[in-house]
Amino acid sequence: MIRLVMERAGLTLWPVFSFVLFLVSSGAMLAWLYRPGSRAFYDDLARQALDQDDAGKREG
Amino acid sequence: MIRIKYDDKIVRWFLLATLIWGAIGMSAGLWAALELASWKFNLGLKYINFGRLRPFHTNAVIFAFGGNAIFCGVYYSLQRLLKARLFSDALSWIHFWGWQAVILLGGIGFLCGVTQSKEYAELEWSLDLVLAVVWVVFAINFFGTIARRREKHLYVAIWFYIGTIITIAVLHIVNGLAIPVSLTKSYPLYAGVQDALVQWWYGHNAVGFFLTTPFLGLMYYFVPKAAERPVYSYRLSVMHFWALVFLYIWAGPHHLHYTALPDWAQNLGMAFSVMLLAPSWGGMLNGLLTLRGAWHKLRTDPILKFFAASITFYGMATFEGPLMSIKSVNALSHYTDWTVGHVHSGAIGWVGLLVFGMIYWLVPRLWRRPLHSQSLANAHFWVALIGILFYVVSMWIAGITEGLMWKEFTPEGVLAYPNFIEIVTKLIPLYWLRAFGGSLYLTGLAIMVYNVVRTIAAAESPVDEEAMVPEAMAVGKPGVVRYWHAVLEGKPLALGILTTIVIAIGGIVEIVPTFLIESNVPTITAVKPYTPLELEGRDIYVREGCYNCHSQMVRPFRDEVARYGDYSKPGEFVYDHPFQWGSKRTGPDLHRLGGKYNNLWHLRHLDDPRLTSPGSIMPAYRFLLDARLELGLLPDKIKVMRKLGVPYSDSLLKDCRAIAQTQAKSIADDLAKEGVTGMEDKEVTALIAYLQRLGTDIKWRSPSETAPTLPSPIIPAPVPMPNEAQPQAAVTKGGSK
Repeated sequence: MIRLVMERAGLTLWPVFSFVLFLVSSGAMLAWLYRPGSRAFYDDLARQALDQDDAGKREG
Repeated sequence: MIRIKYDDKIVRWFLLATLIWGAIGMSAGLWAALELASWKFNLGLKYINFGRLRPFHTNAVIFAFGGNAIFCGVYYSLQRLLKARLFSDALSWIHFWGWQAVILLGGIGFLCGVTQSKEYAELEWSLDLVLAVVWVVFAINFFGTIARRREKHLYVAIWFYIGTIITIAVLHIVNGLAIPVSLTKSYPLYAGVQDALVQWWYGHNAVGFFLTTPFLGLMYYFVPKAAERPVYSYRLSVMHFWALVFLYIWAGPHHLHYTALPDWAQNLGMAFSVMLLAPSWGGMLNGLLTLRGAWHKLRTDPILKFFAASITFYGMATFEGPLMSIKSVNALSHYTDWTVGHVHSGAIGWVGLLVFGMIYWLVPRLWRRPLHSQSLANAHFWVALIGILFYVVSMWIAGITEGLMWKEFTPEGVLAYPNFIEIVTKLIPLYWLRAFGGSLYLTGLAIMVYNVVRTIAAAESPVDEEAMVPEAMAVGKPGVVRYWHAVLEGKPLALGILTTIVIAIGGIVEIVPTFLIESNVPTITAVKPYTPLELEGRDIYVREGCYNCHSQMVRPFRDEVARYGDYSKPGEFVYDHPFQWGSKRTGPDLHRLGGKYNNLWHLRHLDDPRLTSPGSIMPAYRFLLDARLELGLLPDKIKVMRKLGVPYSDSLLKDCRAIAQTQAKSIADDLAKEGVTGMEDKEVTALIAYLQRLGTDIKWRSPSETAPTLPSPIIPAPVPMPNEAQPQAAVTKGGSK
């Protein structure tokens, strides 16, 4: 059954299908990430790498 | 709050291992480059012949230099991002020594000819298993540390680490499946087209998930630290991660354009490769813009110089990659030195410079001592950068030159450069320039090693860093709403499972149909399994790493058919465990070599390639004329092949040694007529048997060409054009193999 579906699925369309899938999912994710009012939240997360108290600061 | 001590000792050891393996791997690379500039650098030693030295170089640089750098940076950043000491000291040390042991044993094995011949996955099954165990140890240590974390949210660098750990495990297991013949010999589960697809699905993603995602994680940690500024856009990094892990896994087939791989898979690989440009450049811009407001520091700070140049090379390589994956561009670039230049702009530009910057940042912190010399670090940067430019530019020119010369026709319609050697000799000056660039890069590394050694020598006994951390995991700031993705970022198991699903989609969609749809590999009834002697000869071909310089894949181009013969069909490779299509043509394609020259030509060519092909840069394989052909493992090899579906009969299995000896005697008798005696039990005879078999299953030569005599060493035998070829093999669709 799976083999039959794959034989007749028209695999040459897959690049187009995958491109559309990529555009739609990327667009949805971008819309979510840049939703209004989210900037402060992400700016806070971005500072996480700088939050640790490591020897680097002491070495100057 | 409580005081904890980070495990920095393991970080220091991985850092030192990075430097040591970097020196070894890059020295091997420089020597390999010299061997291509002049064959005399092979020194007549079979252990360092190019075919054996190149996998030693690639593995030492990718998995030893790159791997140790990854573990160094991951273990340093992970503890600090999670505010927790590593899960287990014991596991850390098992991880360290296990990794070094696998690399050392694998490297010695490559020089002794122990290889699976799958690029960047050359380790034999026994070491593959040990490597898998060491990787699991790393994963337990990594996820165990996450489980003990005191910081709820996983910073984006950790996502890239998670993506790396999961994907490399999947790739390594799927591509490494093989049936052992002995401790140091196995045959892969897949054959021909399927083997090629799985291998390049692995090969491309080894670049993606061993040389890209972990280093992107390190970039997202160390660049903000060095610039003392947060990452430019955290939102862009979220986008970068998901888009990259989703897209990368699909792009592997662009390594197999115009080969016998089904066309739909090639197009899919190309489409996704082009799409990869979006997240790659998003990540590059995010990295570079993190340096905003700190550009003035680049004048004096060598660390930021290394990081800025590294990210720029990432952008360049990730522009060049999609460009080269476009089929019309790939028709020119594939099998040429352009690919070598592209790989090295990523490896020594993006990865190498990022590692150097990270080490310069870490050493003063790990040994509590300012760097011995900032000037030397700056000198290292400029020497390395100039070295990369010499390397990459020379390979661009070499690649485009040879690609165009291969395809050039005269107005009369014949190949303008029918003699392959003529093209090779044009590239020699560029090979010297490449070696010069490599020597500059290695000199830079030597400067760094000196600088680091002087820094460590002047330091007191290093002390692991202590930090004040919360007793328990912080649950987030009050009043802040955590949306679904933020919740996901605090759940490593869910994040890991989702990452696995995302990377699995591409692999399943591409690989499963190739196995299930039989029309992808039409059966050719004329294609028969190799004879026992040819099988032994094939194993010698694999052992000597011939695939490093010779492809076995005639693409359906006018020039390739004119130069080599009828283009390769998918059904011709069904018994090839492993496939030997190769990825580079330093020498000519060999798929239609069988019957082109007589046995004596092959013997003389292997004895000294300059005898038959003046100007050749191929190493001499004189030792094959002396080495005794061992047939002790032959029955076991036949048994394994039968398990893999190769239709060897019971009688062949029973008499395989006698059959091999009979064929060897036939070749030896032919050589004896020409005055060369005593070859019936020599390895060279088996290799000749294999070479004479190549591409002869289908009848593509005209009858007048089927009994070749010793031809001119310069001019290859004429071959028919595609419309003149009369394949006599019965080609059926949908048959089983």
